Amino acid sequence: MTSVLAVLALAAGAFWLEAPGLIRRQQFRELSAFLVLLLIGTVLYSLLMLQLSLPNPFMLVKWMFRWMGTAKSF
Amino acid sequence: MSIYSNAKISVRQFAILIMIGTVGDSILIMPTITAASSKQDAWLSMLLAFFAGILTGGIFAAIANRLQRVSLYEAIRQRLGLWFGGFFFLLFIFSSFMCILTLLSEMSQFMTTQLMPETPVNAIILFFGAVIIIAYRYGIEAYARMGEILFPVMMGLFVLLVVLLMPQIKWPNMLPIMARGFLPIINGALPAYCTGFVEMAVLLMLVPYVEGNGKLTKHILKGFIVGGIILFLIVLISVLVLGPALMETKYYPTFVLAQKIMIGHFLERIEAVMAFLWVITVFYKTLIHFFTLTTGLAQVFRLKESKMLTIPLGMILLVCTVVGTPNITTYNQILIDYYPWFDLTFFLVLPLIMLFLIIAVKQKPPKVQGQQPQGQQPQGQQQPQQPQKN
Repeated sequence: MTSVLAVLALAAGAFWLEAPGLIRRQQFRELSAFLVLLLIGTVLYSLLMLQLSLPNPFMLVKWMFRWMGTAKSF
Repeated sequence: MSIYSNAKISVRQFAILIMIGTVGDSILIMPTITAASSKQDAWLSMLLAFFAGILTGGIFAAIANRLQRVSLYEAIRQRLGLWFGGFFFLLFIFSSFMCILTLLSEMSQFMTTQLMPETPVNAIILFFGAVIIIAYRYGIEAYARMGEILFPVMMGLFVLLVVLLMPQIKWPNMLPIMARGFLPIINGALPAYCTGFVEMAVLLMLVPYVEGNGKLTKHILKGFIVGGIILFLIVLISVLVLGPALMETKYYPTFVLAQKIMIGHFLERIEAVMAFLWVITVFYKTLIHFFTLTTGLAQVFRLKESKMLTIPLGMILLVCTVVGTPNITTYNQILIDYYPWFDLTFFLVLPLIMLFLIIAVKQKPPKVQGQQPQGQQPQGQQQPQQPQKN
């Protein structure tokens, strides 16, 4: 649980670093992009810290080119 | 105002970035992935990959010259339109994302298995990622200059490595040459070619920042040739000093090479010093891909700046790297069997389609004359000489 709190603290730190400037400059499109990515990053990082199973991104590469594995076996 | 407004790098800095990027992670993994197929002929595989790499450099140079310092996204968007062009460019960004994962994986595996076995892998990726983010936020000019400073250090360490290993060269390690035919050599050349040269398609993202309007062919090829020679020499020295059996079984033969340096019992165990060479090259390759990812996303989503994306992207990359590398065996199997095809598709076929589009398809005229859509001034691409700028 402590590790999840550390992730939340990291996310809060990133928000504190970036958001005020974006709001001050009225860059709301940039703020939205930042918040969406920060949310994704925080959720993923928290899940990792909780040791929950996450899909392996390299399996996507394997899935995309699985036909090459089949071709090699011939 | 973006940190990249009017940012310019010299052609020399551009060539150095390509040289360091070409060496990249290949210096660590190239001997293993070539020897896995071609054994003692790994040097021939590397030679083949080198010549193919020069040709690929020519293709990238053709695209770079035709871009005329306009950003890659802008060139695609002008020909394919906002949505299709955006989707096409997102594929390119996605490939950079995946490439960063491989680089971070390799770096973290190398550090945990060879240098800092007690340190958690998360901590290594976190610190390495933090340095990448900080470098990106300082701007392209800062790290291009830094590259200019570090390049002689890198070359010095490389020359030192080669020279100090000379006494240990065993020529019979090369024999027999081509005993198993040409096919294993091609099999070994493919991953070497993809990892070393094809992944440098991201140099196209740096083109808008290169000063002047001259052709870039010479500088791109110079980068590919110098980087390729370094990689060839590393593979050759690995074959001659370690032999094919050690090359194939050790994950980091270059590190073993550095461990073998022993001059008169006073100059030995300098592998930690040599590790600096690999850290520099992997760092720069990761940085160029991170630049592509972050700047590219900002361009596609028409953001005025991109530095606020760095920390969230860093968090996502860290998670994906840790999840993507459950163990070194699974990772290496994907890297050798599948990843070269991913590289060929996204870093070679996509740029070839881009080249075709740039040559064959005429630019779409702007919808309203005199009014610039916001997407034409994406983050970091505000070049004063861009023709579409007011």
